[in-house]
Amino acid sequence: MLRINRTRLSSSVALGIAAVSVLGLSACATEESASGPVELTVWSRSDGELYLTALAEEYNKTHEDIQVKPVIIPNHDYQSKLGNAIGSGDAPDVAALDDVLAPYFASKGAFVDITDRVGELPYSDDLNEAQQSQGVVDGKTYTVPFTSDNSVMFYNKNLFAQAGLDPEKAPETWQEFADAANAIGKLGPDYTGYHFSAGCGGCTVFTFAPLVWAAGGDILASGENESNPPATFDDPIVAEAVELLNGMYLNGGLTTQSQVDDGSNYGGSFESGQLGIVFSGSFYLTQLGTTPPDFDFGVAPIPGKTAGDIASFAGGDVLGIPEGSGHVDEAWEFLTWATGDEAQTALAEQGITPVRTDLLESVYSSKGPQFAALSEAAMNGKVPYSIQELALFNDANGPLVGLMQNGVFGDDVPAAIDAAQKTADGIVANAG
Amino acid sequence: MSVDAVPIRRSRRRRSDSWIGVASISPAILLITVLFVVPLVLMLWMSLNNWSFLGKPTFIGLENYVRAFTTDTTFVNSIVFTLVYTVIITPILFVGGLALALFVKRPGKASGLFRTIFFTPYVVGFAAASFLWLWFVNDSVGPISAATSAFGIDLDQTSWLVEKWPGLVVVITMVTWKVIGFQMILLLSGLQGVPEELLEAAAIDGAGWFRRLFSVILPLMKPTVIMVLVFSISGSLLAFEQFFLITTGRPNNETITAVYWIYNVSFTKFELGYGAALSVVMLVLLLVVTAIQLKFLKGRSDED
Repeated sequence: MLRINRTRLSSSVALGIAAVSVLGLSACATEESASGPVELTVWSRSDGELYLTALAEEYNKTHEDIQVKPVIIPNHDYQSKLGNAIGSGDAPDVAALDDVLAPYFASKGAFVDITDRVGELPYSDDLNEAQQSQGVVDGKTYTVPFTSDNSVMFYNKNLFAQAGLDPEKAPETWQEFADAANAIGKLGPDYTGYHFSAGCGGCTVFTFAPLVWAAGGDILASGENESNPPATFDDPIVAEAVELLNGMYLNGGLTTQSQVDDGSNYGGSFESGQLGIVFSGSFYLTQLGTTPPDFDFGVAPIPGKTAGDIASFAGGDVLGIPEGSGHVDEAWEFLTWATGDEAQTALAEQGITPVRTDLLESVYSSKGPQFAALSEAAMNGKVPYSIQELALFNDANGPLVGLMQNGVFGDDVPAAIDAAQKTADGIVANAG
Repeated sequence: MSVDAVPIRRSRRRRSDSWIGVASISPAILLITVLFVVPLVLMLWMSLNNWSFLGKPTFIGLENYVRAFTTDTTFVNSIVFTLVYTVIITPILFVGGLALALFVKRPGKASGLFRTIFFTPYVVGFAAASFLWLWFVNDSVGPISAATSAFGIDLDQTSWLVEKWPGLVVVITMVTWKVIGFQMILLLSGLQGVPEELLEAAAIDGAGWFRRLFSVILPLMKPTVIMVLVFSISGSLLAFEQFFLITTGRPNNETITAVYWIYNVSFTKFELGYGAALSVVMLVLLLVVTAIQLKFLKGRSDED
């Protein structure tokens, strides 16, 4: 009986304290009092949880007047949550954003114009160019690059040797890539050549687009800062790239599981040593570093049709200050710090490619040849600039995934190209 | 006491009764207004606009509705597919649920155990159940592939997830496994409301098992049957997660349901206005289907 009373008493005291502190907090927030640090809320998708939490701790240790509070939101909910928050005036102070989404958010006036502030950064010309231009609309800059995640080729050197290929020489052309995958696929039923997540649009554009770019083609008719360019699935190079993968599929060089992989199995069976080649990003190198596989692997650029031509998808996050943030100056302080030497070096230590090209050599490539390959990819990165990027390429029910399903795993590439182009034209026409 | 003798007191009582009545339903009215009427009106308004996540909406009249039935062929296809799915799964769930209910109705220790076994999958969420079945049919790590390959059989399991009808079979199997126990419980409560004496009387009159089922049991549990069918059909018309996760629309978005397409339009293409218009169409469809059902089933009971 006494125990119950005590519990009741303590819980009502706790409630009271909670109520008082909530009142106190809201009073602080409305009065903007000079006492106490400014709290900056920084939103990130769950992919960024580890590094953002670590960076926030680092930042808070050295900044007394500004304290960063990371808020992590599940990947798939992120754009709708952020859109709603900004639309309803309930925006965070800083938002990290997948760089493919930056053109949409920036063109809708979601972020504060930071053109002049970025121009004054001593390293403004050294920011990853592909990512930097994602946040530019009509000559005005709304975001800065934060983390880079470029697509590269990972290959199993042991399987290369087993298939009679030179393990120290990564495939340098489309043909060498296809031949290597097909040869490894012929090693036996336990071995597969190449795998990609063809049921996942974001994964597909990350791995497929560089093949097209490296061969001189494109998936978008990119104009000067045109925010809604038409897709170019009818580019002959796109058809050739689809034919290439289709040939690999028919010759046993491409896994059948690729077709139904929604991205949850992006590494295929690479980690267990049964897959020859997979295209992935810096996060995958970190993952392989945490649980080292029992084989040697190499990292190389994604090739084009002729040796020496390479390309990479410039993924990663950018940072913007949402309209409605009550702390624009403090938020810019954080953006400066996050793109500065200290934060970018800390990120590099966690395996994330810096967005500062002037730091790539000293803090990233120096970690080893595999990291150097990612640095090289970062210098050759490209990313589709379109307010319809999600609908055109990332949508699992969109035209790119349809092209993979019907082209790579089907039997009529021209028909698949036509269908994809038609769907894409409809999407571009409906853009609001 | 005659009615005319106390007219004033009566009406006064009635007035205060009605005031208490309004007061007691006001929380419900408030809830319905805030959670249903306001969103519905907002949705109707959104459906007349080109409304993106961000930026100002522009009024476009009925353009969204025209687009739904002209240029956007996927939407009409998704409605047809949703109806096909509903037409296939409703009898499976109803007949299966009724069979299970008849099976577990018999007294005995085992029937309690079976009720629990059949009902348990219902507590699993649709998303979790979908992932579970994706694992079942996975051709590299799933148990089906492990079992068949142990016997040297190599099934083409990838085709189960990329072709239309095999994909539909996988989904229907999963949904049946998951939902049938719930229908069983609902139908069981109806079955238990049928008096034993009537069944005995029918048996004495020489009615066989089928005759008793169709002429005594089912007519007597008509309210339960109506409720189960309305729940089941409207639930199937709103199907989403199972297709979103298992078939993901393969092949060629042929296994996309209406709600799936509304989700895609709203949250992948950010076209909230168009998504609202499709939702309105879906709402009308649901109202029509439910009205037809109620009229059909009630009408039949009036004739009895």
